[in-house]
Amino acid sequence: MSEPSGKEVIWNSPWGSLGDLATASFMVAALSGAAVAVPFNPADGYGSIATMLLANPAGTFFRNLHYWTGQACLILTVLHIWDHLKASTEQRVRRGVWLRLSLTLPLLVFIMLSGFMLRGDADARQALRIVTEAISRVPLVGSGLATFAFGVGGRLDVVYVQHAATATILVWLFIIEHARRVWPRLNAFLSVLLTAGVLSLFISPGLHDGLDPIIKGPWYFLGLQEILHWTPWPLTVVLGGALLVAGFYGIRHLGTNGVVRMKGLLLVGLALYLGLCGVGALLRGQSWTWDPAWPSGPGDLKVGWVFAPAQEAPSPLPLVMGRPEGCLVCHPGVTGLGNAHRPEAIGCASCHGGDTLSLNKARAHAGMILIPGNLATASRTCGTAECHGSIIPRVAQSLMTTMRGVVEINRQVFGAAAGTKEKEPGHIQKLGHSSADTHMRQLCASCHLGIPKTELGPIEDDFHHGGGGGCLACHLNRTRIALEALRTYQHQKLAGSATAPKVHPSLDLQVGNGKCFGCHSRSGRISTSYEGWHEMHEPPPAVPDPRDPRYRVLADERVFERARSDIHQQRGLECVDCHSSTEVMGDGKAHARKSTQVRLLCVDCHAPAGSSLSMIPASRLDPESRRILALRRWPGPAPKQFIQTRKGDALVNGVLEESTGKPRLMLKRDGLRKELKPTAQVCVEGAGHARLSCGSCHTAWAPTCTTCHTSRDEKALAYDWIKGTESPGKWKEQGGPFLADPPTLGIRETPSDPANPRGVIETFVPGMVLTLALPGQSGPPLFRRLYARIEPHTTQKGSRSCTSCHNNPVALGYGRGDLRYERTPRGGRWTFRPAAEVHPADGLPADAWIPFLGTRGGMVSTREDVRPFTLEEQQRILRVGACLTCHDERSPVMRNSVRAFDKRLAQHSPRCLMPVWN
Amino acid sequence: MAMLRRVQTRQVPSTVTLPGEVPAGLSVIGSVVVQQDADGTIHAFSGRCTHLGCHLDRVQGDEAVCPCHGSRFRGDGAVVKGPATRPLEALKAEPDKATGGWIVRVRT
Repeated sequence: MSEPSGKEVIWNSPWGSLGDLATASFMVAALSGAAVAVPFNPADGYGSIATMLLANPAGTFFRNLHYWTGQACLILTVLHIWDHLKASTEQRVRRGVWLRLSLTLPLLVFIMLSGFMLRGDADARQALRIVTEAISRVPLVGSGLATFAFGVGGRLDVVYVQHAATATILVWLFIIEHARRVWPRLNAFLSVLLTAGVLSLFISPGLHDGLDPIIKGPWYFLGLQEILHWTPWPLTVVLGGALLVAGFYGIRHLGTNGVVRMKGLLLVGLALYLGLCGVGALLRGQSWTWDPAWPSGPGDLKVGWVFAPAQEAPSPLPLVMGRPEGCLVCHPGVTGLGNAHRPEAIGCASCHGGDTLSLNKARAHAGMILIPGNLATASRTCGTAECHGSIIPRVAQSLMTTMRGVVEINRQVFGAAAGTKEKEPGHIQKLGHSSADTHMRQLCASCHLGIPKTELGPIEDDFHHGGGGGCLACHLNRTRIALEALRTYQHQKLAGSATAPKVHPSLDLQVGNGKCFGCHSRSGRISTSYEGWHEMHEPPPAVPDPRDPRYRVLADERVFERARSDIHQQRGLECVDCHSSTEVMGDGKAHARKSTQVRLLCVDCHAPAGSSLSMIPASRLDPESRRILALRRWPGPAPKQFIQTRKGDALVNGVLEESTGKPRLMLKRDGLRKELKPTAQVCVEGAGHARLSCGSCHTAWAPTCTTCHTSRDEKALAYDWIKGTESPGKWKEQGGPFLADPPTLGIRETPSDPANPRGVIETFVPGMVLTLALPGQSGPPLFRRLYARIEPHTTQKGSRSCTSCHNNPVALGYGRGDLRYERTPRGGRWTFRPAAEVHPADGLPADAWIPFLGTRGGMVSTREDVRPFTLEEQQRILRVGACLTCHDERSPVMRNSVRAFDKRLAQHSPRCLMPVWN
Repeated sequence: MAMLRRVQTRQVPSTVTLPGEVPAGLSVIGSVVVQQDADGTIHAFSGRCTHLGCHLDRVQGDEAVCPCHGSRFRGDGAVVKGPATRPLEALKAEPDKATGGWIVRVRT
């Protein structure tokens, strides 16, 4: 270039001008490219570069040099252009030369992009598709131009020729014509070589292995990606690029005002584009969704001494899914993972990350995820694009991750007094610092899937260690041999020198009850109740002998006494036999409560008497069910028909047995078949019990805690499970006594259910009968009397007796006490004497939901769609109860009354004592 | 004419063999998006995003998702969310007597 002189100021330095440096960068890039071409194979771009990175440090150095000088050439060229536009030197360039200089810009961009495409990795393949598709949209010439530049069918041979030869030679010729010299100035050449050489010794561009679900492209391409994300018309981008080149060319031909405007336009456009590149790089994630994060994928830059000592590379290199993976060079023969996750099939990095393309220990382990499966990193481990990518977003929305219902009801209970009304859906990991949320942070946030597992070892039953771990919380199984291998490794590590264990814990579908126990032995205590254990409020003075079958002491020192276990537990069913993958891992919807996330109903397995279960053929199973069946490998012939639940799911372990024509439940653990009996006839006859849920009759008992006082000690320290640190202000709960009674009954409103428009009778326990002393609160503590709907998981084969509902004050919601039917001159009269003391806050017995033959308004439950019985409903129940005070429940008169009570009542004897209510 | 069309579309024709028992609902098998309806009917679509040709490599819920710019497509090929505006290209799935599966002609 003819350098300006006089008053125009052009950036210059002892190493040359920007133009000199740009030219030198181009030359070094071209020369290093020639070196890289020796080991590079355009028929297997990814494989040849991966091999270079693993086994050819000199090749890696030259590739790095090629990369860094290429980046420098692009940046320095833009700066060089701006430097001269600022000094208005364009008029000194001849028109023909200016035209060719204008064409150098798109040629340079082509060289950069085609070079990126030659990586042949996941990013590069998608970039090739995007660019060729966009260019081919140009009318008439687009398709031919795209074919000329990029070839067809995603192959790299044409791209390679155009990158290494055509475009490079053309740009070199334009530079020679423009700069009037063949070779760059020596000082510029040396300074570029030195700077890029040092960078190349330490920083290497990686390769996108296709496992990372984030697809982006090179940094200078991201602004284009951002624009393409917003426009359904890619042709506008191509035309916009052509206009930019035309605008640049026009600078040489416009008048003074026009030139100033055009330069301003180009500068603003460049600034905006670089801003969009920043947005794409830092703020976009999977499928170009908004997800701010620092770029750290396998295709991004890797830091480390290129010639660092490394394990000797074997030949051939171990391949995983067709790609070289260095991890297996140092860690061969790891066993224990099971067939689906064996290292020979999926390698190590699919789960653990790290740099698969380095045999240097430090570099290979940099960025490694020692414990995969934690939800914070699950999209890069279990949820990579080629593995379980569709499951992770579901798990993120599931209640075991969000605890939305618990968070929201806790805020409601605190909210009125504490002024903490949150508009966002509740999420345990997005808690604030209000009284309500601090309460959750300390007492409830230890049990959710988002808690990271940070230590190697088995998932414990103890809730303090069993509440998190993401995918591993359920799917990690450590065999005895794997546990011994871990212990040996840990001992070696303490001694100073350790070899990674050769036996890996298994990742499989054997999700035993112990996995659920850690969390679900608390609060509703479903796990303990299911296994027939009831927590003691006042345990024996001495810790019970572990061999004493009457007691069980958990790791957190809570003592349980033997109670009746669930009939399903007695029959050998584990939690996962009923709770399917869709239910446990979520269906992708953000449910507000468990009952909507639950997929399986009792009647899905136990057909109402007189009807049969709905079936779905094996050929119509969804992909997840097929995959589960393939992994389960139950003995015997593959079932051809599966139970279809009322919510439309296929029950993979609910099958139609061909030999008997009867439905069977296969235990997921071992494939053992269990008979699925229909309901009893009494369940479906008569209108009197049509509204009863299965659980309202078949629940043996429910764990209850009738009173609770929650207060905060401002001086004491408490552990915050979200922050992972201790902070002052400790929430304390004092409750009791713990009872194991048949549950209270109430109504779940179902106005949109045509089968039960008046609602369904469900089971309830005292959920929050509590006084709440808030910090800084004057006056008496806040009082709540809320019952909670619960499925206690204490199902019994037989049902509750008639009197256990119709003559039972607990079932009706009055609490424990003496409910009597007494003769008076006017007729029969029900009376109730509560056993519990009256609570001073509302005058009701401490354990009551409602007053005797009364109602309550306002907040009565932890859910808004449930309520206690109305006065009319209580009277209807007690009217039957009055009959039961004389007639045995098995008597013909009472059995007939189930089918038509009102009709039977109309025929009552004059001796019958009818209840009066006034 | 066929050669001309190939040049125009810049894609090379090839075939993908689908297994006999295609998963119910939506799935991605190689370069083909496959939808099996509740009655067992199979619909095959090109796995090329109609926005800019990216390979649809993932199904989220009941939608095929483009990894490049986030377009989403339903099981009938229709666009749920842009930037794509055109539905996925429907492909003909022919029974393959040799394997019991399906042969789908695609352009890659």
